[in-house]
Amino acid sequence: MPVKVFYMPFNSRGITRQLFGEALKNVKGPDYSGILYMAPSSIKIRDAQHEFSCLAGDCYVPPEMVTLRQFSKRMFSRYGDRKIIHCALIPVVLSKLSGRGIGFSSAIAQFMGEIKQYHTEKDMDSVGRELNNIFNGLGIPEEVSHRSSEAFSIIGYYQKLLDESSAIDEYDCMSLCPAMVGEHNIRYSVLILDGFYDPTPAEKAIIKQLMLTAKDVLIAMPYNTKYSFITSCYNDFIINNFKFELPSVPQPRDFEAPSFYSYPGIEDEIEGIARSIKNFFISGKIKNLNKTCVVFPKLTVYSDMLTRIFKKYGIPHALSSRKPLGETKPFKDLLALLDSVSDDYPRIPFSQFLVSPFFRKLPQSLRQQIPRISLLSGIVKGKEAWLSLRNSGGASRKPPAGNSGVPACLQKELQWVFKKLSPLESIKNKGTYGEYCGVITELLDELDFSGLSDEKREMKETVAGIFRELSFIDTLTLSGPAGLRDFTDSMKLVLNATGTEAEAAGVQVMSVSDMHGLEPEHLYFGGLKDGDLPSKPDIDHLLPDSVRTRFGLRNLGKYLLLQKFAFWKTIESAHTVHLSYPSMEGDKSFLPSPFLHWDKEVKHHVYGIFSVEEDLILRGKTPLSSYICEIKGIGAKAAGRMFGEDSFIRVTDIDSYRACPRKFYLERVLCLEPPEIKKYEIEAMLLGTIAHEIMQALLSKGWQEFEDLPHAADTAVDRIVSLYGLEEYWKKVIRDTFVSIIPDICKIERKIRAEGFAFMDAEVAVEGEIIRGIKLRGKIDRIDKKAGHGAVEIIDYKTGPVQFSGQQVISKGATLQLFLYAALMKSMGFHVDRAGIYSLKDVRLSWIPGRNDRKEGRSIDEYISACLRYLGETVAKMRDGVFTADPIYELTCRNCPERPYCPYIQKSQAFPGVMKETA
Amino acid sequence: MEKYLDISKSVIISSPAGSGKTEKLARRYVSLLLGGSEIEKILAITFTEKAATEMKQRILGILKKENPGLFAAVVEKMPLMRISTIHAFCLKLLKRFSIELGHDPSLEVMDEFTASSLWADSVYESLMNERENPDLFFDMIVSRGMKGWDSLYRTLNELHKRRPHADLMIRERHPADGEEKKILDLYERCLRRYSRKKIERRLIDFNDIELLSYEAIIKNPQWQNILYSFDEHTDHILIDEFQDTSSLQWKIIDRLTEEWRSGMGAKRDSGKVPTIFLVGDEKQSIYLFRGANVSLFGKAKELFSEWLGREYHFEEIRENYRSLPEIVNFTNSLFSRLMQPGLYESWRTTYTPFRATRDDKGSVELIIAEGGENTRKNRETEAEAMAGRILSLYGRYEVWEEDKKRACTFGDMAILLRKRTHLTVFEDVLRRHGIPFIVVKGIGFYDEPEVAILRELLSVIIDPLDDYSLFCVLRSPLFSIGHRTLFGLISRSGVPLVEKMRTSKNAGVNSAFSMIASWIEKAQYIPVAELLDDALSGTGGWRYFWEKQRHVNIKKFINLVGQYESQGYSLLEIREKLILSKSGEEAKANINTEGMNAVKITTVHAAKGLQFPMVFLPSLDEENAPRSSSIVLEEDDETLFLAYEEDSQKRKKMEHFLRRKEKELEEEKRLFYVAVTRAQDFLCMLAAPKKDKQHSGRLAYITGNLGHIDSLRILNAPEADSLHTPSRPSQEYAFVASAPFFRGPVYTEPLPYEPRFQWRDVTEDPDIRVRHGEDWVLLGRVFHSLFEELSKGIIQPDDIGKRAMTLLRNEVFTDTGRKRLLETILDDFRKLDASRHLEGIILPRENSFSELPFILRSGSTIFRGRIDRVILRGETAFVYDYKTYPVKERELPELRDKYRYQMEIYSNAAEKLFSKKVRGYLLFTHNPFCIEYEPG
Repeated sequence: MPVKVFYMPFNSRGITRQLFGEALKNVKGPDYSGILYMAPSSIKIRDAQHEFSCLAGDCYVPPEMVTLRQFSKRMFSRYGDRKIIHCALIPVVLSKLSGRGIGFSSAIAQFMGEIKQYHTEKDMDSVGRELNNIFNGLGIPEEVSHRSSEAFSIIGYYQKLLDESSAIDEYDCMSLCPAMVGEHNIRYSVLILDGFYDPTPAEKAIIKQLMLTAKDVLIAMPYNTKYSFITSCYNDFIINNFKFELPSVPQPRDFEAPSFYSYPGIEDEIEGIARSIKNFFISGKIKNLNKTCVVFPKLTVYSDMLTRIFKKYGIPHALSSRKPLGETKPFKDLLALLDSVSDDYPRIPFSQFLVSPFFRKLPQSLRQQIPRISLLSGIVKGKEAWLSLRNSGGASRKPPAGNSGVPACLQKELQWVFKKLSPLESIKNKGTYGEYCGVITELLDELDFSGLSDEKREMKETVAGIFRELSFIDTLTLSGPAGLRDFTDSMKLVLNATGTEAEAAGVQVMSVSDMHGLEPEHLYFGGLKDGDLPSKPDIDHLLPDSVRTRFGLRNLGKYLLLQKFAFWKTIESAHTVHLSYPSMEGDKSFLPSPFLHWDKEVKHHVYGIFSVEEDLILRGKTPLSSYICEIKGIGAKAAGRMFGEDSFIRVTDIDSYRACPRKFYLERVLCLEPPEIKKYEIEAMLLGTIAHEIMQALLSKGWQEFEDLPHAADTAVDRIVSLYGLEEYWKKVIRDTFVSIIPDICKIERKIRAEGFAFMDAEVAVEGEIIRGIKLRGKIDRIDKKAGHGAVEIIDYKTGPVQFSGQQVISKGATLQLFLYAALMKSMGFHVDRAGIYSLKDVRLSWIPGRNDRKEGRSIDEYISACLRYLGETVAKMRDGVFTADPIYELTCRNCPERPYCPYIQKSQAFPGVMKETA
Repeated sequence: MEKYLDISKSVIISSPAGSGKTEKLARRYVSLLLGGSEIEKILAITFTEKAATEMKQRILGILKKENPGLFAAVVEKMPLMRISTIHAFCLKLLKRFSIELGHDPSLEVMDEFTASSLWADSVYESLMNERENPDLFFDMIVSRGMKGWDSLYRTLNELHKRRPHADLMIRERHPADGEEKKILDLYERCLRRYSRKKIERRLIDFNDIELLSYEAIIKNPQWQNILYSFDEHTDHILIDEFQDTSSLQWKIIDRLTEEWRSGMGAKRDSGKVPTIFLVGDEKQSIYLFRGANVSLFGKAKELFSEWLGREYHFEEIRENYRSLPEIVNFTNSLFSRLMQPGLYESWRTTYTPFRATRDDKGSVELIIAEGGENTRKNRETEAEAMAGRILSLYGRYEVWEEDKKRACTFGDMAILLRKRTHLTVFEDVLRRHGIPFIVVKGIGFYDEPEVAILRELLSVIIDPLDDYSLFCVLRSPLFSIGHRTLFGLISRSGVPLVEKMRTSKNAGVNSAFSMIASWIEKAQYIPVAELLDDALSGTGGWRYFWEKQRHVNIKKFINLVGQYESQGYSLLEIREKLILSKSGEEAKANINTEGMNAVKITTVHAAKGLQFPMVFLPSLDEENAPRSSSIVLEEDDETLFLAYEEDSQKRKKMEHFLRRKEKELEEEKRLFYVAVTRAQDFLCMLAAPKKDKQHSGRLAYITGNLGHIDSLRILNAPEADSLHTPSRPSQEYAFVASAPFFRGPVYTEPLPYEPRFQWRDVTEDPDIRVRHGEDWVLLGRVFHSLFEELSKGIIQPDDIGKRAMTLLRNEVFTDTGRKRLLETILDDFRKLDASRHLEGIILPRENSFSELPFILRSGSTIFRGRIDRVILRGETAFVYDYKTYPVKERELPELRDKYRYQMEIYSNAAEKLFSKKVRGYLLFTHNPFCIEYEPG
């Protein structure tokens, strides 16, 4: 068993090929199955497979190439007889056993994993005792040590259950592996250990057993005198257990700390990297994209943006691992379905499920309609609320307005969906994991849950696998029924721990840990900011750092040093290096990583245009503001028709136009409604309609005594609210609200009567040609008549806040509605005495002419003539199709959806072409 | 040594603007290090995360220059430096002690969108809870008259916005009665539900961070342990911007350091003197709306003096290193009048004059333009005057750069706005005069057309029936469909616009329809952020967004959407987030203004901590009147008071509302102070009051005290214009250029990259699950294991049942399921035995292989696979591939075709590996059938 140890300087390259070359001296092809090659990461394994193929010819039986963990699992599945449980399930199992939250259980799982790796040969009891002594020795408060004791008892229980259920976890797999290797006499001609530098005791035990039986052993260990404390443990292990030779290796070369680039933001950083890669590829400096690596300490923060930007620059690339399943679209939709059922169909998650393309049997009409309905329904949650969509039931669930409407079949389709969901709903508080898996599997089959194109098969396979794992929880924990939310949480854990390794051609993008042992031609190491590299470990809730140190576990100091080791090893092993960090992101600013030499910060410039975006940006000449224009003369013909001499114009349209012609065009002419989220409320229009009807019913009776009013109100309100499909609660709210304002209404009515007026008519449709060539039409809420006088007053009911200013009517032409009605009445031969707005919100009636008008001797006729003046010019513009942005009050612009496109707000039309690019 | 560097004493420094406050804090930190303090035991609290980074940078800068040895040591320990905001510190505390506090350690802070949707759920559920038995909700809705629910819901939301105080009102049972009590009762119901939901989801919201931290160290049974741990890990605390600390934050600090001040404790026993270092300036307290309590500054001074005696040092800095004397004189004379000492109201600020240390003179101007008919017109007039003044100064006025004077540039100038209401007016006028400018931290991000267009595009992709958004997208430069065409399309009512587009005869509309339809399709499987990028390139849309600010705004928007997707939000949620954000205060994308020759426009709040050679302060005549709300939650010493009134007239007479207004007016003065003190060399204030109207706002502060104010030159607009002949900027300054490296050569095509070899796995049959069901997938795995183990002699035929049971146990968790599958397995083995395939193919024999891995290079493809069984007999290698699912005899020809490609690869591999002739077979083990592969 000759052992050859290659102490490889950080900046030496080609060791893997050298190791294979050495191995092939003694193993003849094409059968290389006698070689066992082991490396710390699966990406390194893949890289080694590629290396080996360069040496081994066109066809061969490959060496076994695995990580230690893969090896132990492979051994166990071949020779063992227990079920290996998924790592992600351990916290779930521990949580079920302990009744503690998933976070605490995850902490225990991690603690257990460390103990099983670092104290392999000790049983849990003795580990517990040892730890207790350490706690006592360090004088750590009992509360803290108590937590680790609690963890031990949970772990003990867990281990017992594993035994009883004939199961095993991955850590145990590794512990049992050396014995299995011995027992089954597993031996290899050549054992290659490539790139390990600080194996755990459990890993060392496997290595040792394999070394003992292998004919030849080749070990490559990264070595640098500055970091010998990292490799010393591994080194000692070899020195103390084996005789070894030291073949000649390249001498370390001087490595000067490289300069690094700062970018103003994360996106700029990725773009800088992309531009550099593209530039180098085009210029021939990069030939093999597969040998170009892009590395980030926090890959998850960068990966999505990187994919987008690299795609924009047309750079083929592969991320070392795909997103966890829980973050992929189909599974997010599946989780939305489960969350919907467990939480009584909340609006957004349930809508998400209903529009999902991955449930192929869901009716297409739901997919089309739900996005709009979701916004406009006012639903918060509740199956009933969904089912009463078309009844304008609930508080406000009036069918969504707008030109898309709601098809009649929608309710039927929702009923169909709820029927499909009912088996799951029926067990949502009492199912076992196995039952949930069964029912959900059936549901997914019925709804044909499947991916798009080639993912289809993979997804079904994955779901089945996950459900198999989750079903095992019942067997393992012997626990009874659980809530669906609990099941979904467990499923999320498994989904989030299930990511697949990806292999594709192009630039290889990975995290620092995946880089172990790789020797890229070109290395782009980004995201090197303070806090990310080095990062601090997560808080350990069970063991203080001092205990970890004493107990031989990885402590804070070692954690930080390992990152430094990995950093230098990574950058020294590359042929060319590009280091970078973002100095800002949004409001946050960052410092460079302390691993960088701060006085070597430089700015990065790669000249050239590498994306369509850059090309188009350069071609841009005209400012965007010049595209923001007034709407004039558009549809003048049609406008002429709509508002022409032969058409009746609605009185309310005059005010709307005057408020802002542009807004009027969009809302009234084109009938467009911007998307808005409807609150849960009594819908304003519905409330207005009901209020109008109640007032009409109340006041049209011509009752004599005010004392009768409360009673009359009771009956009228009851009758009217019952006509609307409102929930009982809201009916009662409206009824009681009205009853409560009746005394104030009485006061107003008394006053009106005292002033000599009596109810004449309500909801009076009026129309006429008050100016030659302008026909108006409208509906007056109420007309009162002055006894024996012939004069009338007109009243408009409002449920919202009211602003009614005579000054504004005359000087600005605002709120013309009532005076136009007055003019119409006048043209019909009535004398209108005054016009009033009756606010039902404040229960107040405001009149014009008011007190000030009377003081100044202003009559309603002055208002009417002012109105007619405004009317003439307004209608003329309407007929010309003039829909300019010209708000009567700027306040209306505050929430106007047209703001971004409005020349009044954007101030764009006055000075087109002022801004010029000067690059 | 400066007294504030004495690390044996706690220190409070009152440090006015421009007096080097941050430098002092950094120096104190360095002194602690030099005094032997461990880096991880110094806690520094800053007001923002950005300030934390700057603080770190400054400390390291001092060390690097003055003590390289210590610098190296500190850099090595940088991850252990504890410089953060109070929220970040509290969050760590909560996470660290989550278990003790009864939280799950995996707790996370939810974002505003999730928080608001949980809150809305909670209110709804609380309301629904009384659906059957109307109760308090009902009474309060009804008592509010028509739209009572609307009003009540708004009130609850208003109160909720006032967390953590609203929470504290309830938790600490502060007095309330009448309507306020009822509101609080309702709020409590909703809040309880909200808290339950958060616990279930292991979430907290932003306000919980301080609130729960406070409770952790005050009320929680574990408080002693938490304090003990904090004490063990912390020797010194330094707090920057102390004037903006809230009462709750102060209570937290106070409690954490209680023992330090008692003169006792383990730390002192071991010879360590823990210290607190507070630095701030009462006059710059401008965050009342976020709960800052300016009274605390004075209170802390009193308490420290009382608690620490000689171990405490207070210092009031009087030097101003920033501004030239005229600016300092003006500031002193004005604010001495405005901030006079008061006896009873601790929230009022007292001014202490400072001394200018810089030589030269400087300039302070007030330009009064004549106001117009309304506010907007006033601002337009004023903006014109300001633009004129800028142009008259540009290139002529001299500013200092280090110790030399030079002609000013636009980059030296900053316009500081009190609020952003009329920002577009200022932008417009500057543009018109060709003055380059950049809006720093400008809100109104979602009002920018380029952002709105993309938002609408996203809406269309999510909901193609959204006519409004589709209309916006079509009229945008992305498609440039004219209003006339759109009118023609839309006015045909009754059919969704997207449907009308499908059948339109207009080529532009048709092409737009195809593109939009393809995006809708793609959105099912690619991230929408990518899609937006594609859309901008595909339509050539980027051409319209070349202006720097627009370009970066778009990038910011796409990034935001990308982030939302990465965070797991669904498209529907993203749409809602964007709808809700529309009315929010999202800032435009940051542009790095370093070295940029452009006037900076920003708000006074955003300018805090910054300085500019030349400052312009417009709109001095704007009313200071704070916006009135129906709810006030006031703190008075230790007590909280809630006042509620819908009627704004009545509010004018109510004590709490009045008090709040007074406090806000006092803060307006401080805000003015902050604005004025940003100027280094030149200060120009502007106003456009209405003629004959009494001056208001900040203008009144000046004109009401004219007799006492020094160093101020008042000009009317024409006078200001006549000071210098305007110097027109050259066209090159007309707009801030894009990044300079965007210039030729052009390579916009994707890289034509083909790797030398493609690795491919030879995989198993994909359709088994679909055609035969889940059981046969599972049985396939078990059969393959059994065949391999039999072939390799790991198990014997007699062991099949036992081993199969073991394998099944790991896959199937019901006895009946296992039994059923076991029967199938045993039955199939019986059939295999009877057909002699078991013995002939599967059982061990010499010169045979099972599950043989191979690598085969064929052209540029490298196949990777495993052959189930190879038996070498004579000059022939017999290759078998097991298919374990049921088949019918008539299906065999079809299956032979189906697996031909796979068998061809196996045969090639076997031929090359063994240098023998190969015969390949498919062994269907269920029936069993064995058929020979025929090369195609």
